[in-house]
Amino acid sequence: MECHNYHKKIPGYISGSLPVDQIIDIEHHLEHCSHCRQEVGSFRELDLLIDAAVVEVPLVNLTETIVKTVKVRRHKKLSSVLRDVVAAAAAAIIIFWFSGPLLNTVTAPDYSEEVTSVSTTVGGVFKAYLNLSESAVNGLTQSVERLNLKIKSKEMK
Amino acid sequence: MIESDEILLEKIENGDLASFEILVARYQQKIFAFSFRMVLSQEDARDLTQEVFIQVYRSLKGFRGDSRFSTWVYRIASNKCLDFLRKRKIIYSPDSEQELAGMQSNLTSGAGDPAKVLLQKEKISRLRQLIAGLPDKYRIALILFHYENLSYQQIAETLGVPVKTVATRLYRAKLTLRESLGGDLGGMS
Repeated sequence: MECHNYHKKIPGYISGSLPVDQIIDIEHHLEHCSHCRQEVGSFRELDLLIDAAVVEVPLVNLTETIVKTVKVRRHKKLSSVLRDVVAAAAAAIIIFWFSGPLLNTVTAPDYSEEVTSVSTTVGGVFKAYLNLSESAVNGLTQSVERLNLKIKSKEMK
Repeated sequence: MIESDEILLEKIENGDLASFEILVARYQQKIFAFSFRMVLSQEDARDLTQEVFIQVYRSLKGFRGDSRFSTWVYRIASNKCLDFLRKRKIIYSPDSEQELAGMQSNLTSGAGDPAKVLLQKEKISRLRQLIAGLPDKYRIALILFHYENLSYQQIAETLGVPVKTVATRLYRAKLTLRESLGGDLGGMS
């Protein structure tokens, strides 16, 4: 193995991070190569310097802050879920409230007009969305078909 | 009795916040230290540490246990720090230089000769600047190995790269530092 290939492994050798067979191989090489022995010496000096250059870190205690933040976020999430459940229950109650009299062909209550108009608007919007989605899907299908035709004609050529 | 990380994780998944508090207390200083060494700002390191543990709490269900919990936390912290540095486009700046110069070192050799001590302090200061100027992917490997005392295997799992890549990055980092320092290495041993 060329010296260059051993050089790459020197940091790992110094830190004892290499597999045993590679350590043996390097040590065997070092017995005969003064240049690589110099490299080992140089990297050892650098390691000492890097260790000495450690940036001291102040002691902190962030535990309370972190746990508090998690608690707050957990509470917010639960509140949001609860709100959604309450809204869904209210909607179900309203629907149930009006569907009863209408199904029984009893005269609908006065305020049912407002509810009907809201439902019609919502229904209309939903229908428009479905139409738009349908036309988008149709457009995409046509594009894919055109692409397939182009590919087929190229293959036949 | 000290409960293992695995037992605490099980309890946290069942909603036990007290266990989460124990886990945070166990790792918060390590993660803060790592973040601080990466971003060189106490305030940012505090924020990042908080974000790490919020992410830990949120992602607990996704922790499959195929690596150690500590490795997983370091992985989250590494990603947060690298994202932070990328977004802020933190490059080595004169302000950082003063901050680095003001930081303590654990320099112990050459205690008898004031001139030697001063020389070594200058060398250390210069090396810190050079480390801060390394590409992030080299610097993070260096910090995890030399200052967080992770093994090559642990660094590989943390960064999601093969062990060979860790070895290459450390080699290139040290080669860059050595070339930048020139012949100015001796006197530490």
